[in-house]
Amino acid sequence: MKSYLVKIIVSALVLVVMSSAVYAQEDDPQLDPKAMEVVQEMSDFMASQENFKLVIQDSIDTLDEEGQVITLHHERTLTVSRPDKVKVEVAGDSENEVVTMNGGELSMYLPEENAYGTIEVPANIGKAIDKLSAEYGVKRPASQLLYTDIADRLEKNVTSARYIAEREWNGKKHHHLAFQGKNVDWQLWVAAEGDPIPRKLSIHYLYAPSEPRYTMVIQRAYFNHQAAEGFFEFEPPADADKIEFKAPANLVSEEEK
Amino acid sequence: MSRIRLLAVALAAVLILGFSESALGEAYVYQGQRFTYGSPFDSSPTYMSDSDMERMARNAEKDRERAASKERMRKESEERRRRARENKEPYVPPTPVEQHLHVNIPKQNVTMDQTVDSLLAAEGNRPVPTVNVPPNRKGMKIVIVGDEFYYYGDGVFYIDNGGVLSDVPAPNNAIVFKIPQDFETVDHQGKRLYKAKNTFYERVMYQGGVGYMVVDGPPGVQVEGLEKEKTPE
Repeated sequence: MKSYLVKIIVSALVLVVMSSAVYAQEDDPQLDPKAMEVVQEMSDFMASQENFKLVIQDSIDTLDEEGQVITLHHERTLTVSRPDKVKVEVAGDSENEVVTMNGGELSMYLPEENAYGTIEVPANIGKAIDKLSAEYGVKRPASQLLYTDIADRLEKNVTSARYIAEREWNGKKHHHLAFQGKNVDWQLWVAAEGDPIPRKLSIHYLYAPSEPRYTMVIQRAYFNHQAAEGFFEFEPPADADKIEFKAPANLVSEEEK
Repeated sequence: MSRIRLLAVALAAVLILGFSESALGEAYVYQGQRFTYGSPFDSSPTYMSDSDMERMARNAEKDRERAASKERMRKESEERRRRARENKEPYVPPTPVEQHLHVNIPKQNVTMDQTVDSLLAAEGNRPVPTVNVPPNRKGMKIVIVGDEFYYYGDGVFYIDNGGVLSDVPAPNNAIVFKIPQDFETVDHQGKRLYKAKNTFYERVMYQGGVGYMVVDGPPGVQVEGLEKEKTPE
């Protein structure tokens, strides 16, 4: 009887180990090497660009007070001079703003309110974006293109990456990639001809009310773009109100995550 | 025979222990928490932790049960109407019973309640935002200050006292996006303050937009509705 019990316990242990292995496998991200290769090429290319300008058209679904989905459009012009200068000009249905980062200072000007705020940020574009997002709750999906480690960040935060197909879109061939994260499904189209530029990004927010979508298309990209002198200096209008940046009261801090 | 039974029990235990977590994970799909648009590289939602989401997923099951109950009530009501038409009897609607569900978000110390009605759109089971202000509080916004949770509408803050809203003094540091249009401005110590419905606000940059933060009024400014301090005669 003892030997049977031992066998049962051993069998159970083997099964536990096997099931743990299966479970661990389920937890491991399923990353298609072909998809990740495209992402790495795109990431390397974007990181290698010191001075550039992107003109982006985007749309985002929002819910109005009647619970109906309303799509809002914006045009964003991102002008970058690495490592510490950015100007983002946004005009559209709900966001109208000019964000200027110059060294360790970041200013946000809201023309409709004729008000601006200024905060200190690290003199590094990626770290400044992190601070703006984590401490002030200001998140802009397009800003992700400004990181120099897009591939690493992506790899840490996706549970699956798939190469869907090579697609012809807008008269050019693109790699069509699909990803799943913990909270979002998203797709990326990277130019398959010429420079590996991210041309289109579509995010599906699975847990937000009505599962809204954000879609962003890079309409024009100018690399080796030299901005005019003083372009990154922020000069508020003389009659603009200076107001203080405030952190959301209910923002979950990094420690709590 | 007993050996087989033992093995089966062991196997069942292993399977249950091994896969219960993944089964729980299936229940994540739930439309209904406050969410800020983030980035695809952002692994954590701004407002929700994994455990919050699991809890909400479990609540989703209760939501579905209540929605089914609501549907049954609707069908019963239709049936009553049909019978009343056939028998030419006056239709007597059932006494409305407002059912509340509670969505707890412990990290924010927030309890949000809403009626089952708001789970169902007019034409059927179309999903609508579930973490939202109940229909009888339409137009109000939820404002969180520290651990406290308020409703805000047209310049007045309220707390929920067991389903009844009671207005309360505006809590300092509360930030809202709109104040009543008939505000006045007061310049104080180099800052412009906005006074609306006896509350003073300061404009601040908040989540990429302009917000109005409740602040103390400047000394010497009379706030209507408050008694003047009596001076000894």
